[in-house]
Amino acid sequence: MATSTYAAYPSNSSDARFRAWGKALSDALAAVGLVKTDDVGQIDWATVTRPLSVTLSMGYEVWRFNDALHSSDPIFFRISYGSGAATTSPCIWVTVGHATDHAGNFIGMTSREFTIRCGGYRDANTYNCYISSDGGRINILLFANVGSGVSALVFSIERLKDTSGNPLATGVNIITGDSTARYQQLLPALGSPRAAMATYQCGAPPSGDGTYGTTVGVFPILPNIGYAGNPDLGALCYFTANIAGEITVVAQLYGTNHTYITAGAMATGSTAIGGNTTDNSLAVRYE
Amino acid sequence: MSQTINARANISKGNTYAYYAAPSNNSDALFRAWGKALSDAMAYVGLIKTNDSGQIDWNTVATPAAVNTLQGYEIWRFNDALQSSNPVYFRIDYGSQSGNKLYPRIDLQVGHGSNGSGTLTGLLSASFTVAIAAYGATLCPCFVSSDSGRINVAMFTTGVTNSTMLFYIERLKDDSGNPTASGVNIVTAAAARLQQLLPSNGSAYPASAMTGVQAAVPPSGNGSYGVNLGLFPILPNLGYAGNPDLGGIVHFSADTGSVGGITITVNLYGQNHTYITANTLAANNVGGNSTSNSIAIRYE
Repeated sequence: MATSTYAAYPSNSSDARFRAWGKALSDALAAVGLVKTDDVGQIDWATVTRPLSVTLSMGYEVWRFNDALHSSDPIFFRISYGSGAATTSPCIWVTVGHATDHAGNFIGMTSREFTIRCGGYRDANTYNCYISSDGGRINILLFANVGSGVSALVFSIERLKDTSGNPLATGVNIITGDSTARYQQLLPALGSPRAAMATYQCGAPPSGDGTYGTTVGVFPILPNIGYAGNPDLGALCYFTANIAGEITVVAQLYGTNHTYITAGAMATGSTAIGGNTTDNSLAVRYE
Repeated sequence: MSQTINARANISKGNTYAYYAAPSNNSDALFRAWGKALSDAMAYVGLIKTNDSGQIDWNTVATPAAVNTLQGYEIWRFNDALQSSNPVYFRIDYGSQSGNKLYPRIDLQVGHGSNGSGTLTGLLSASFTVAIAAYGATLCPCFVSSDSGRINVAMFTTGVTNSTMLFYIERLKDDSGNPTASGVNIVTAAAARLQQLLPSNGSAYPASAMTGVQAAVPPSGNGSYGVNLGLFPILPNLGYAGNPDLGGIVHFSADTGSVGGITITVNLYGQNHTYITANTLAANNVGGNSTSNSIAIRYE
């Protein structure tokens, strides 16, 4: 398992700032063991300029998993870099599929294109970003604890798990979170993708903040296979009143300790998990 | 009208008891019929009615003369090996719903003992009102089961719209699904759904029962995918989500049918368990998902 952390400004206020956060993420994806494909037309971090209008992608990259299961269930994802609701606000778009045409287009079944965007920008301070992988997953937390006005950005792609928590070649679960939206979607190896759901499937209580005596609840996200599948390891839901942002949390899942970083306050809009609107967020796997 | 008209004899044996009753307080006989049938069923499946004084007399009790009226109570207790370390008593009151005296209602409270005259003692749960928003003369199937260390009740599972009453009290489970002495989870569902944990020590959690049940349902959709139909066990709220209850399972009506009374077998903790589905409940939202759904109750 590999991790990469770095600090970046959540900002497109200059070409340098845009390139800095984008290239840092790209470098981190390589550093944790993913493979950048040879698709033509991928973004050139040396020359790309910042977006000059809103909701504008300035280029993309295609990455793939690099684990033993990749031969039976290949996982590729395209990540595009640009601007959100303001030209200065970072935004990425992520789509997951099983193959590309070497020109940046997917072949066959894909997930939806997830928009993951900041609600604003910050030029005064950098914020830490946490990336981890074992070659067969990707867990990303950008701009941890930047606050709900900008919002940390989260996405996680992990293979479905067996009852012991081992990865399977049956598909991946995709989780995203940002300033305005949350999504979860299953992309199976065969068949058709589940519709993306506009929040997470987890066992959160319908009310309250998940504390009970000295116990603080965190809630694994479950892939929607019709029934609730074996829990993802990629991210945990938690209530923000209980755990501060950018805190390392160790949670035991499948009998093994796993390490997570809390994102801090995220969405300012619809935030319900399990029908519970108590302020909550995601902790992202980092190990 | 005799009781036998409105509450047919049981049709199964052992830990289970099934009967028919009409969800109605429209006469003394009808009120007595559904109430006594539930009482008889709880005795049949192995629970112990205490000797608290002043308990309801099914031979003489009259139907509620007004809305929101309770006509009498019973005190029951578990009768399993864990009763010595974590005694579980519950009081059940029989009466009428707040808006219509003809609509049946029970109130349920759980504690760790009783004072001999109808007052529960020790750590107490909230008082759960399990009231329906309908009544009817149709005989509806009812299902009660226990192994002496739990009670699972599904009344009027089908037959009269919005008449289903469900509740269960089950001990918390270990990782293998075995009951523990650490507390019970209480779930009720009718016009509203409620859930609360009553631990063996400490205090009931949350202090007021949660409106809604805790289950890992998808936030949208009906849980079907290809040939899979999703069923979602209810989870006790220990701060974190505890090991799943066996007592009840959320199901989406589009998958199992909006008409209840269907037997389904579900593998939990590595073993098959039997459940009875219920009509779509009036209180639909579960986990933020308002797709029509209900709760299947353990029946084994």
